[in-house]
Amino acid sequence: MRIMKEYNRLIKLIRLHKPEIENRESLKDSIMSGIKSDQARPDYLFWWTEIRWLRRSLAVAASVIIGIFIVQQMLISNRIDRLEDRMISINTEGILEMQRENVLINSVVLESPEASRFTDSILVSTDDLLSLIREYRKLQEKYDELVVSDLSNKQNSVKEKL
Amino acid sequence: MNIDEIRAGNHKEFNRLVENQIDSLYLLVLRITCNEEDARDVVQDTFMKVWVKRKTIKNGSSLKAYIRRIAVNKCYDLLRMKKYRQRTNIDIERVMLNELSEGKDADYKLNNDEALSLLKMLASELSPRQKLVFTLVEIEELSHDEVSEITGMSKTNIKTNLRHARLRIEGIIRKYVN
Repeated sequence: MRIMKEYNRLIKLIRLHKPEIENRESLKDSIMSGIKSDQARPDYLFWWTEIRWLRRSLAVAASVIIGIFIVQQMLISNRIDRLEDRMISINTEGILEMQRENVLINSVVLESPEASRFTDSILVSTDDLLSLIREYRKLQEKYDELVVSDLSNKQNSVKEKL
Repeated sequence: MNIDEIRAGNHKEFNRLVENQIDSLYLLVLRITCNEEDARDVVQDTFMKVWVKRKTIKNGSSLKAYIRRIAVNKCYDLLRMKKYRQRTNIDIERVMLNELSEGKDADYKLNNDEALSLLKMLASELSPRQKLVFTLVEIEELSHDEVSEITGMSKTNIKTNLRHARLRIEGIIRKYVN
């Protein structure tokens, strides 16, 4: 209550205080002279801003350009996203293939009991090793196919007998 | 005052406008900025802007409100500048406030420095927006509609800012009174 009373009293004191402008006439003169000098000085740079239709059409053009820019950016980022996906898949395939081959080299050639004796003096080139591995894998696949077909033949013969 | 004449660039009519509005505008700006030099600059810039933008003044709109709106926007920009945050000498104000509290003279009138220091101190904790609303509603005694027209703020926003401003000022008064 006391605070409110004090608040109202201070506000009232401030309201009552109405200072006059010091050197009122000089302030007025400076305003008027500023206006006259402003009018006397033609604006060579921005005179066209006074033309309403020009201003509006420029605003429309700016909006259109901004719109095109946004769409273009969206398209580009979209394409980059897709490109990134493709690159990742290609790289992953390549890396996996290389790893597979390395594992095979280690398991088939280097880790075989005979090869372990010559690990420090192998004279076979990497290309040869790779071609060897590839051939080995082809043979492995053929062997797997043969096993599978043999199995199915046996199953068929058993069925026929039954 | 003839708006059409002003729009057409009539100096005499504009001079009349300046003559009519300069005192009230100066008082308003001084109460917001609490600085005489800044108040003079803002008043001058405001009239210059009114002159430059005279062709955009709409028919039937209140010229006084238009001028005030420009001035208040300029004050707001000024208040938002970090370097403008004024800190006053609290000891001096404390003495002054105590004297005011103890002196029970209802007709006591403040001198210029006292009034500005008091206003500066009361508004020291307010944000620029709160200070604007507080000055316009409490000191200038404008209605919420008028404040809304001048500042462009919604009535709800004005009420909220005013409530916060009052609370902060009451806090300051409480500190000194207690």
